Amino acid sequence: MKTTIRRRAAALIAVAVVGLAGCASPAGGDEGDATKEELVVWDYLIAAWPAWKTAAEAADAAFEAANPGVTIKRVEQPSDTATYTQLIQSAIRSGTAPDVFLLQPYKTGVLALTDGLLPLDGVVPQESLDAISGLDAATLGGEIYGLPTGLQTNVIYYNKEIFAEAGLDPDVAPKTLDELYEAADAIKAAGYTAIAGGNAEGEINGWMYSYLWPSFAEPVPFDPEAPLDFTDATTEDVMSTYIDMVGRGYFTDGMQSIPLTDYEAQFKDGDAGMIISIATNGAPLAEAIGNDNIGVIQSVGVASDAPNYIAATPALVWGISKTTAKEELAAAFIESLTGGEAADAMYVDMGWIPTSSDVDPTSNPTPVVQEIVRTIQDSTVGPTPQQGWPPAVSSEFKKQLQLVVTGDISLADALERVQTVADQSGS
Amino acid sequence: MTVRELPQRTGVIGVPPVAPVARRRRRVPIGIWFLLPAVILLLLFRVAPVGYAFVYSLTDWNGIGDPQFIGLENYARIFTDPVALTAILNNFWLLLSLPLWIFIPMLIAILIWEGMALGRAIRYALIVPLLLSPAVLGLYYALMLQKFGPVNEFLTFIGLPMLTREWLADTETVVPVFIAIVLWGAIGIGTLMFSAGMASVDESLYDAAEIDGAGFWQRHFAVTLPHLRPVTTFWAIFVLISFFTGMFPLLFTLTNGGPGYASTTIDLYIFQLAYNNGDLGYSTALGLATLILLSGLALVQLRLLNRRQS
Repeated sequence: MKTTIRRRAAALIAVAVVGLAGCASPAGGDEGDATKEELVVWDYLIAAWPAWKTAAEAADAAFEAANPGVTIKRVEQPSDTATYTQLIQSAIRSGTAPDVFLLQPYKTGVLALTDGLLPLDGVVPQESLDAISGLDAATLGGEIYGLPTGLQTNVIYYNKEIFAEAGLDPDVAPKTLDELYEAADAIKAAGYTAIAGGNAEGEINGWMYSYLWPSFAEPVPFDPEAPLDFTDATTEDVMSTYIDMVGRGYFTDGMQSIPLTDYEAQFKDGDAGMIISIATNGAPLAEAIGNDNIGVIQSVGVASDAPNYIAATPALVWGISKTTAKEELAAAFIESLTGGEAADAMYVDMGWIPTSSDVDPTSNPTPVVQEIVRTIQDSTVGPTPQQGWPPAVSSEFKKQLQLVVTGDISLADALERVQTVADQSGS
Repeated sequence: MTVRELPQRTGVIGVPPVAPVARRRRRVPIGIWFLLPAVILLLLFRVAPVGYAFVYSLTDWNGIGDPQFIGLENYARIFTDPVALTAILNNFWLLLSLPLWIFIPMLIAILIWEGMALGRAIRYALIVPLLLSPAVLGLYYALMLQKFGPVNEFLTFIGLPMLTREWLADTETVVPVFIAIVLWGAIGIGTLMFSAGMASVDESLYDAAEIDGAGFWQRHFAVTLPHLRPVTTFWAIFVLISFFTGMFPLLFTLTNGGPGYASTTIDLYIFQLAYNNGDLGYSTALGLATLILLSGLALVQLRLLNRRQS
């Protein structure tokens, strides 16, 4: 009897000890240094892009120097959109969100997360907001939810040596769609891939849409409430042109099974004469094939030798969590990242296309980057309808165009399906 | 107060008399106290979330803001959502491959038991895929199966260039290829299970069968198969559940459900709805509908297998 009682008591004590051990607070934590303020920043590029990490560290150090007692803690996050969104959702709902987020612009990014973001009116001075361009990328219902950083546009880079080998003038970039076709035909005849692409995820479908749209359409200001129309003639023209280019064999053979992360090797290794890419890739590609060996073909003209405009939109957005207790500090931090010295340094050091039109293009040492900036500064710039696509529509577009490229459905059926999803999403 | 005495058992030596009622206490097994933490955790992390999920499935919710109640709209949407129907169809293609998942590992286990050459080495080799994360497997095969990847290079090398294709970008081949990859990854664990089951079979039964003149197939049909029924039942249920819940890690890196939605399964679609599209209400409804469907299928499967057993 006594033995039984002792055993039960020992068992209960053991269970209690194990339970309490699990509730013990973790070791560590700098609880003694109450004067320091730490700003937690989620950043999904510092792991994937060494140049961005270097620029980020410099910007953080500059902010800390200007704000004694403040520490910036950048937390590395996965660059996969779905995984990052999952983390953001969980963090906001559980009240463990960081102070600042790095986000994609427009409806696939910041505008899909406004329920968890702090409107910036009132925390960022109005005169600062007035000086920043591209705020429409983070504005919904009259509220501004983030500050944009950098500009992004889709371009085609070309290898000048391969151009020359194909009988083309390496110093004269194609200016019209016909000239682009001629260049692609010549490069193919010379035994190279005309345009390198990796479309396993369907990204090239969206990039070519952005690249070709300004060739066919006039710029229209971004309106997040505007209904989406995939049955219009311009969309038909743009995507028919893209499918025609695929059908002519201009893109990488086997592009549909090459991931976006792996496709640049074709261009860097000199197997492809051109590559569809983004403006911020100019510096790394130039480093790979030589500053003097790379040229750029911005959007081409159809009816004339110039596109109607250049589709350049904010690249990324810095947003502040609604749950932060350091609103003003966070606002000051994101302001420091999106203008002034930090933005200038990012252009100089890594070719991050500036939003400001006052930047001297020659302050970046890479000629192709200078050319992109000059063109943007000298042109009418605007968005494409793609910026108004919510995530479901963007995903559906990429997937349906994959099926068009593989020949499983017609372009008309694909666009009709995308329209259905757009209508269902309320866009 | 006198204690009411109960009659003692007679004629049974060594049996202690029944304790008087007033001193007999209800004993709570000590095991319950040890089980309690696990049960609480199970309720908190398995049962309660299903309840929460049901509530959220009745809403339009982006995972961040406040959910908006919309009743059973999400459930009705399933029947008109072509992607959901495609995903469920892809899961049923997997279901049709279930016999392969049972008989291939069973056959390998039998051959190893029979002492086939290099049996032990094969058994260890089959374990290797189990050591790899499905996501890593997906990345590996995505590279292997590219148009100019090693598989097509090999086919060309052996004089079969007509068979080369973009295996994962062709809507006709992506599902069979995916099934082959996932089967390859799971054969090892199935073989281990059936091997363990065969270890409990009485070898004298095989001797008796041999004496009666039974050949290889007769021996195993008459002796091995009946003895492996419990293992087969368990493995079949396990595989069925994994068809609907375990394909996501591999598919996410292998094809991301493409081309189009040709290789999208229901668990991958649920993930994409929740975290690509920010449609957690519908995603949750689809998850619960899958739970109901899977429960029904598992029940049917159990009854079929148990009926054969009886």
